[in-house]
Amino acid sequence: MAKFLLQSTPKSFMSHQALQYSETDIIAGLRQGDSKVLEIVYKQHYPTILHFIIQNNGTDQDAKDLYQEAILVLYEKLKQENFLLTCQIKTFVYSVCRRLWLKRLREKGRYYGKIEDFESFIPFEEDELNVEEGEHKYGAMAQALDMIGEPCRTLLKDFYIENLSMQDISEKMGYTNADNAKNQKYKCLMRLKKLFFEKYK
Amino acid sequence: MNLQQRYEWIESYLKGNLEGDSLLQFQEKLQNEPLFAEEVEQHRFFLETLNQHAERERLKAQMNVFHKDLEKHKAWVFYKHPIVQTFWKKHFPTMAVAASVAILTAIGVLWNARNLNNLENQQITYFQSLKKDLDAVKKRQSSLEEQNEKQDEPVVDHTATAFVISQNGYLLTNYHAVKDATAIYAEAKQDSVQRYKAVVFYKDEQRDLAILQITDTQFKGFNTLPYTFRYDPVDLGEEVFTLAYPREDLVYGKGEVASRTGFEGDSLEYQVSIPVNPGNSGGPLLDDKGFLVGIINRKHTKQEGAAFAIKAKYIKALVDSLEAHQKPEKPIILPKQSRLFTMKRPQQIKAIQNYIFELKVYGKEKK
Repeated sequence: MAKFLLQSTPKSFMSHQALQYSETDIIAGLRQGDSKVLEIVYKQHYPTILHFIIQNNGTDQDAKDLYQEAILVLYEKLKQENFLLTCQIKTFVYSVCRRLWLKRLREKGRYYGKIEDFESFIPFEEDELNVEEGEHKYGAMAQALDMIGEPCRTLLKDFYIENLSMQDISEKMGYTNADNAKNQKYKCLMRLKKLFFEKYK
Repeated sequence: MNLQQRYEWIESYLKGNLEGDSLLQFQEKLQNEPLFAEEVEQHRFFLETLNQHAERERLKAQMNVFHKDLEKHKAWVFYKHPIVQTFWKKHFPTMAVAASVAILTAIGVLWNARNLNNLENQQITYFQSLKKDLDAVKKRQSSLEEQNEKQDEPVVDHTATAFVISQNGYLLTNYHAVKDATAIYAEAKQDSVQRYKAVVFYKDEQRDLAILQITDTQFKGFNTLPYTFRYDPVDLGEEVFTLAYPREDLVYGKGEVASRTGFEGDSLEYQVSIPVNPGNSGGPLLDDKGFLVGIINRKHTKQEGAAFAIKAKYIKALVDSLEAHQKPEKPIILPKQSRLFTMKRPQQIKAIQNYIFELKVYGKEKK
């Protein structure tokens, strides 16, 4: 179970919308996948992160990428039932961004030993967030999906993501019957799987 | 069972759709065939990643919409400083290298000179209090004493200067001049010889000031003092002068205010370019018009013609706090009027000289 120390940070920026929600409400909302709550969280903390990245040699594109990654980390952590967030959302997001940005600066060889901080933060260990593992995994999947092309991508997406029935899919895609579609789906899946594990391993 | 059917079976199991015999069969196979178990796990991982990836893409699409929204409002546009940013990006490595070289050089130089540790100590010894140390005299006299076996007579330890700040018999000098005094005599020998016994009335080590009170029975009080204080700061380059007893006679010294701060940036003091000698301690510092602007207290040992004087402001502060807290029996009344500002320098000196005393400070009595 991941555990973080409690830190309090001043609430310097808060949209009037966000004021209607307590941190507990927001966490509950994110756990349920409420997109309205996601929007509030997203809009609330972006300026802080943008400021941080810009002040530390980054661009707004860097800030956007990192920030979205951090929000995804938060989102995924909250989906894990055994995860307990013991600091403010802002502190968590800032800490994740800080960690990621440090890593990215090192990779680019632009790290000069000093990060300018604007918030209190949790010093995450290098591998604590599993972000690298995630990047690897999802990167491989994205590439594999790119390579299988259409109609395979839509076919697989409809079946595995949208959970459509084979009957619906065969009608939608114009296959003569469900079995035909099923065969097609199987071939696509095997190709995707092969491509994925080629990239991933 | 062909491969396709086998995967359908695995997927049904992963979805939790297997029941009855089929489930038992599957579980048995899972337990007995490690390769099959591995295949199932691999497929589970693959499908999970496919799902998670899709979920992430969905969230990213959402976030991009929120982001567009944010950008529309540009609430944070002030965070962007493209010029500053590119400047730093471009020049930071160069500047970092330059700075490190400079720092290393500085440390190297200091280290080589072995100054690093002693620096502070050395600077402390760079000034010298200006009491006239009569070491030589002292030695001679004590040897004489031994010869003559006149052991009860106290010895003049050093001399300094003091000046009158209150008509009713208060003199001002430096704390360091009277620190260990057992007896003090104040002498003026210009128009007529005056010699009074005085005691330390109040001393302030921090400001290096001491107020003496004349306790002599002969003393009847001074005439109205010809000078007064000027408390507002003196400008750089203003001409100032001092009168003191670095030797047995009164000596005039002239110079300019060289700095508004004293030794090591001490804001209590001015730096003045007057050549001073031991014995000048406690001498008044007057400006061109004859206003008292300070009191000479020390000089720089490693720098020619750099003397320091305590500002009049702090003399006033000392007297004020003394009046407020101690309430002396005879109040210290600082002079209010000056008669000097229209006079030429020789006349000014003539008017002042009777109010400046040579202090003969007696040290510990020799047994």
